[in-house]
Amino acid sequence: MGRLEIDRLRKTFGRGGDKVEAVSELSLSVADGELLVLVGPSGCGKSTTLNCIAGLESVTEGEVVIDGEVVTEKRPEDRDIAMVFQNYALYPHMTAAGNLEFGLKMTTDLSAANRRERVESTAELLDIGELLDKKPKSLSGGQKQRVALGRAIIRDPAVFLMDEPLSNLDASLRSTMRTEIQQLQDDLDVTTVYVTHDQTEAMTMADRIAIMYEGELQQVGQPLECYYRPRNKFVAEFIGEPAMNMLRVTRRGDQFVADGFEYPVPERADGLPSGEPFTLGVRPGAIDIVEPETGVATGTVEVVEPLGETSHAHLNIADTTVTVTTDGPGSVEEGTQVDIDFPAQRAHLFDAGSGVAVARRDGLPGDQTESYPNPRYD
Amino acid sequence: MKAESRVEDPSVGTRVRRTIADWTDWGIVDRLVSRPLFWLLPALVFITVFQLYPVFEVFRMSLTDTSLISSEESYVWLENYRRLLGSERFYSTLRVTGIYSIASVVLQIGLGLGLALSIDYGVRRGLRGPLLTRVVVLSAWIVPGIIIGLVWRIMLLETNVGVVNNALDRLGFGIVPFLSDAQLALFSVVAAGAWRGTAFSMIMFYAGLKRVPDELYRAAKVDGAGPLARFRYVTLPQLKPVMFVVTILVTIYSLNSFDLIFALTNGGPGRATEVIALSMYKTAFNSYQMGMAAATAVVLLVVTLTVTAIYFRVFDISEEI
Amino acid sequence: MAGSTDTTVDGRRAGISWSRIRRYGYDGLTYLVYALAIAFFLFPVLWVLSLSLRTEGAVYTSLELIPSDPSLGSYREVLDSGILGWMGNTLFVAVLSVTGILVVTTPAAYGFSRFRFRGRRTLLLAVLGFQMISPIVIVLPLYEIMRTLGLTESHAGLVLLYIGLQIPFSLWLLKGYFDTIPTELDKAARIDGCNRLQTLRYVLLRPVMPGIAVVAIFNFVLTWSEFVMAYTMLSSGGEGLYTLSMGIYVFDNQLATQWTNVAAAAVVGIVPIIVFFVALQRYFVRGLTEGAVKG
Repeated sequence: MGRLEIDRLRKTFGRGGDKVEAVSELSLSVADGELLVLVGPSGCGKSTTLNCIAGLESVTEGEVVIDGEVVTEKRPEDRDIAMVFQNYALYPHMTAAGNLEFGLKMTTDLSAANRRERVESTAELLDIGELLDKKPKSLSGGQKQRVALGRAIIRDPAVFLMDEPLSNLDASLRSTMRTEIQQLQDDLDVTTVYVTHDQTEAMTMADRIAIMYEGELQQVGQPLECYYRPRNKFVAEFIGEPAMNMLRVTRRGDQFVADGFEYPVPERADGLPSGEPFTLGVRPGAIDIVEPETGVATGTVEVVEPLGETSHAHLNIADTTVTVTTDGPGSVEEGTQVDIDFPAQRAHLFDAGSGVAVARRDGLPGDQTESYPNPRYD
Repeated sequence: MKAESRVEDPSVGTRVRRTIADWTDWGIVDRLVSRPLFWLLPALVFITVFQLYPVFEVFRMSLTDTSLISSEESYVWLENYRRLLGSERFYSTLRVTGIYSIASVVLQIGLGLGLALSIDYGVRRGLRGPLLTRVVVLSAWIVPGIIIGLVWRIMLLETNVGVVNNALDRLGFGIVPFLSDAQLALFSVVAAGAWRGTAFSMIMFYAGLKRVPDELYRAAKVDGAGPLARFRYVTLPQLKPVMFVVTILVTIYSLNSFDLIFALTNGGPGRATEVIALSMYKTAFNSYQMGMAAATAVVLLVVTLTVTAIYFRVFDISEEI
Repeated sequence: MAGSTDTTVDGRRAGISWSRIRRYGYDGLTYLVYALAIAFFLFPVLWVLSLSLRTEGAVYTSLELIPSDPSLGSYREVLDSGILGWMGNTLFVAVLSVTGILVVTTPAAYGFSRFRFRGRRTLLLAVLGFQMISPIVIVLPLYEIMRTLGLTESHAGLVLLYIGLQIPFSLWLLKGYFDTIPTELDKAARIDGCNRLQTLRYVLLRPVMPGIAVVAIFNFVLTWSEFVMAYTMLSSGGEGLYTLSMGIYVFDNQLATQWTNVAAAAVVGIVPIIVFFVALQRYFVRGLTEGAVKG
């Protein structure tokens, strides 16, 4: 069992004029067996948060609660957690077995034989049995990563903390390990907080993601929730690849207008005041190339990046660049004029000043409430 | 959001209660070892007793007439400095120290850099000999200074025993007064100093060369730089931090040289090789004038610090520290 | 292959020869540098060795390096003069000093590397600053201090003095080594249940060993060779207290012109430390080149 709660966590560094607030008023709760991914750009406070949970950093204000027990003042080894680090952090002078065993040696009274048993069963689980007598220097990146995972698993903790564990691996190994960690977490059913700056990792691995920016929590939710219903402009732009297009528009009557762009106000946004500026966001994948003179805007194709099955076309619409994900080769030509359109459900609206999402859609694609009403084609 | 509302649920709030004192769960050892002072204290005590306090004390002593042979001591304030600055001996030692130091720095850095480059080149090319050369040069460095002085004195003896003069004599040059001629004696002292000190510059430069990334040389080659241009535009700039450290340290060692000269010439002939440190030591322990000697030591310290400060200006290493 | 490539082979040969000649030139030059360096740095030691093996009469006549009539007579006289006792004293002082330096410096280097506290930078620069103050500058107050503490004419006093004088440099060097070890190791150890003492003992000490080796070797050589402090502090004591350097200096002053004996004393003073260093110089150089000499 491992339920983790973070209550109004605040962490500041330095004092006086140099004081920096790394984490402010962060409240989160991670259910037993859940994999929560803490994601955000570097310096957003995600690693600091993890260190506070681990007890590697003291907490300025707030509480960390594991299984109903306040652990804020406890030593790391008394918190029933284990941690996996970015650069593996394997002890260079110990063998793989020594690395696995070290934590048990320091924190438990297990006999050498018992420890050896645990080491072997953990090694078996991770398929690193033959590596046990090797030192980190002679292990490959993936093998080191497994040993580092093993060092966490062998402690049988209530909560796993992972600090960008895959960022040192090359691309192909990373996706393999991603699946593996996910499976492992599923099998072991251990509550896990996973920190990463990579939104793909976040989307694919998480039960829920928590997006942080400048020390503040921006949104917590299931990956698709964050993808389709971002709470603000930051989340909308951070999640999704390529990033969401953002257009400055003004509501004029029942249209959102900008230079060379006009889009009917969706029903859910009826309440927004006319004459006010907004940011209209739309994901490249949601945009269709349509017949000339039928779209909401006309743009010049400036660059096409072929990716195989799909391409990214960068259009210039009245000096704003809009990225569109199109079908593979041949669907658009560089230098041509094309029209674009997108469904009302896929239009995101944000307050022009604060960036807070307004008139968010209900539900996700595939939900019962979901349909693609596209009145303009009727 | 869902997650947050769950945490802010009042039922959670009642369970969450702040413990009274910080780190109450921590043992006394843990608390002790999490204070930096615990780790630094012994070192700081040693530094204070054997370095910081003596520096203040040498200033204080320089203002007194303290002497080894009497327990009386009174403040004479700047009298020692006035006498020092008025004595010919002082300017002579200053001049000797200056010449010795400049010659040593130039010679040791030049030889050290040359040796480091040739050893680095040999290692890169897989030649035989770099290891042996390195070991031999380093061996000279670790011979006790007093013995180096002794060895060089024997070598430079102005009789047939001195191998150098013996050889020169056989070649028909006659005896050269290496140790009894004022100028030649200074030259001999510099040579013996270089014999000992070159190894230090060499090993520092070698360490610096090892750290020049290979890509830089390859990039320079691609850019059409020949060996000389690569040395000028890649090696030297990369060695700048090491050059700075070596120059400062060699200068400090040279300015404060003592044991080698003490054994080789003991400052002679006359005062031709009497450096400041030697004159200070003799004033203190041969003439028993501790106050006067302390003033000399202070001058030596001021000279050292001034030269170091000048280096900091000249090298402009602000971006490297 | 033969027919068609003849010209290119020739062309290539012509092209290569110039750079090859140049490379042989550089190689030759390098070997010349090696030869000169070895001659210059080795000859004095060999010459003294040669002198020490001669009979007293042979020093005036012969230039040959290998004496025609070798004799161990001067060594017998030197050994009778108590040089072995001085060597024992020196070894005792050097070993204790090195141990003391490591015991004091290692925790301090760890502290400076792993803690961030107010005044850390200032303190570090101050420590570095003491490297610019040569021991000779403060030898007078040190003598007074030791006299006041009753520690002159004592090896223990000398050891304390050496520890005090050598801390700044050793601390700076060792802190550089600690800095090269990622702090993630500390965190991992913390998670694994180590307090800071255990972290240092079980996790950091081994990775930092090359640095400790450098500091140990360097300080051993330095304290073994040290003269000024030993001479100042121990002179007033009996000959039985002397270290090697000062013993040989005093011996040399007494013997004046018995060159073979002086040479033998020098050899006895040189050989052990060179053997020690040559055996360990690999670790010394490796530690220096791999670790952090940079400030």
